[in-house]
Amino acid sequence: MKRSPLYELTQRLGAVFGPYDGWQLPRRFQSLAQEYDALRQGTVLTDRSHVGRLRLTGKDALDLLHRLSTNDLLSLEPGRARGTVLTTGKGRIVDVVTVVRMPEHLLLLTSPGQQGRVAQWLDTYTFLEECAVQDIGQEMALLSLVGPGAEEALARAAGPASVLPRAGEARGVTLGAAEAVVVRTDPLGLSGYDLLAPWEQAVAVWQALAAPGTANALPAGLEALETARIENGVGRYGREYGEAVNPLEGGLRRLISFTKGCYTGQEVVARLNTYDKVQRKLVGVVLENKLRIAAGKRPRLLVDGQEVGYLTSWARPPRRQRWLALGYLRRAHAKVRAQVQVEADGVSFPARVASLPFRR
Amino acid sequence: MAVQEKTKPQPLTIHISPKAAEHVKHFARLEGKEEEIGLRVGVKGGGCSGLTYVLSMEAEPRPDDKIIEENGIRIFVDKKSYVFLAGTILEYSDGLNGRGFEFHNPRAKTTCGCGTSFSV
Repeated sequence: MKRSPLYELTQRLGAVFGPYDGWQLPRRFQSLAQEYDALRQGTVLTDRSHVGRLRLTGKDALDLLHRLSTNDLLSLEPGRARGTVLTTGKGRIVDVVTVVRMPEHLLLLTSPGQQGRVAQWLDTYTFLEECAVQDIGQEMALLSLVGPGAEEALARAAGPASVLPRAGEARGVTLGAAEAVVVRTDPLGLSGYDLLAPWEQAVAVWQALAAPGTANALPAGLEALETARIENGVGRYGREYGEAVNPLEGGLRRLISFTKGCYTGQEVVARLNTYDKVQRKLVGVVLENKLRIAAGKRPRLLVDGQEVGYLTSWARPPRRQRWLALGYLRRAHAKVRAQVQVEADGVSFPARVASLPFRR
Repeated sequence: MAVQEKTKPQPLTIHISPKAAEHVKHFARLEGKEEEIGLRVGVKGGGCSGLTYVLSMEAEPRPDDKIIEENGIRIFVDKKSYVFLAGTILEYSDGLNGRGFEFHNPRAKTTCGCGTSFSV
């Protein structure tokens, strides 16, 4: 189990740790309700070191990514970041990544724990191109500053002379005695930033952002973020996204360019789109009962006794009566307010389809 | 008793048809290059099915290239591409509906609609 440079600090702050894709990271600090409220109304700071971080060097790196993924990357300017989906020849999802164009190299933020898979995928498709991939997960830490107050919090921590990155931008920002690469990724459907700090400076960056009276961000664990992710209707690899799913089903249309030309899986994605052949949709489901299911299993969705889909993520946000879930439903049934039955570990109860993001 | 000598199986290699070879020489002349120019044949990642064929003229091979000579053409292939191209015949399709250079690759499982991309 890997530990980030923020381990001791977060432990002193009362963090309860959990295993996340090979890392020991804070699951929660004081109370889920308090962290969730801060996330929705204020600003929180989270250790997200399980997000994959790869550095790509070589003059052909951007071109290679452009040929292997759905979005237009050749038009990505230095200092900008863009999401894209790496797809197989059959148009299925290898990973959903964010490409950050730095002056001398590219940064690739992968789904948690997916950096090895993505590096291997890129290597398989590298022939004579100049492109080298390096896992910098132990070189740079990743913290996220999110919530409606994130911009103000960052501005106060960075000082009046700083220029902050706007949506889709990446900038070096000085925070206290440290320097971090700050990317305005608005992750998980939240407003805010992913900050990459050199390993030895991670603590200084955290302290600059958590400082009472200046930035004043509240430490939050990954449980609060996961709850918000589901409520925001944002998918994640291993749950909603994977090699059994294509990006159109997964609601990732905004990361697909239909005019950029050839990329791996392009024909399948284009055909599905042109002939309107997407068979199922990612939807929200509001559950009437609490969901109890064994780990690794997926609740089924039934209509008139027929299986029409399954659930992929579920949570009960604080201050909500009902459990919320994300799942895939066959098109014909994927209508808002449609009634379905959830079946999990022999227990069956009703639920209804809701639009995403869930209304609050 | 004479020991029956087994015929060794032909090693899979990359072939270039006489017609394709003629066209390479023709293109070399058009570009003012030497007729003895080398032909780089290779594979590139990306392209709708996953892999795309690469064809270019180069004066010299790279240190790790495999060199194949046929029909008066020196073919250069990098080792990684060779894995995907062994057994391939480079043809030239001309005439009214000709498509130019064509890779006939016995290893290709799927090809894309326009024929430039394949997977194994």
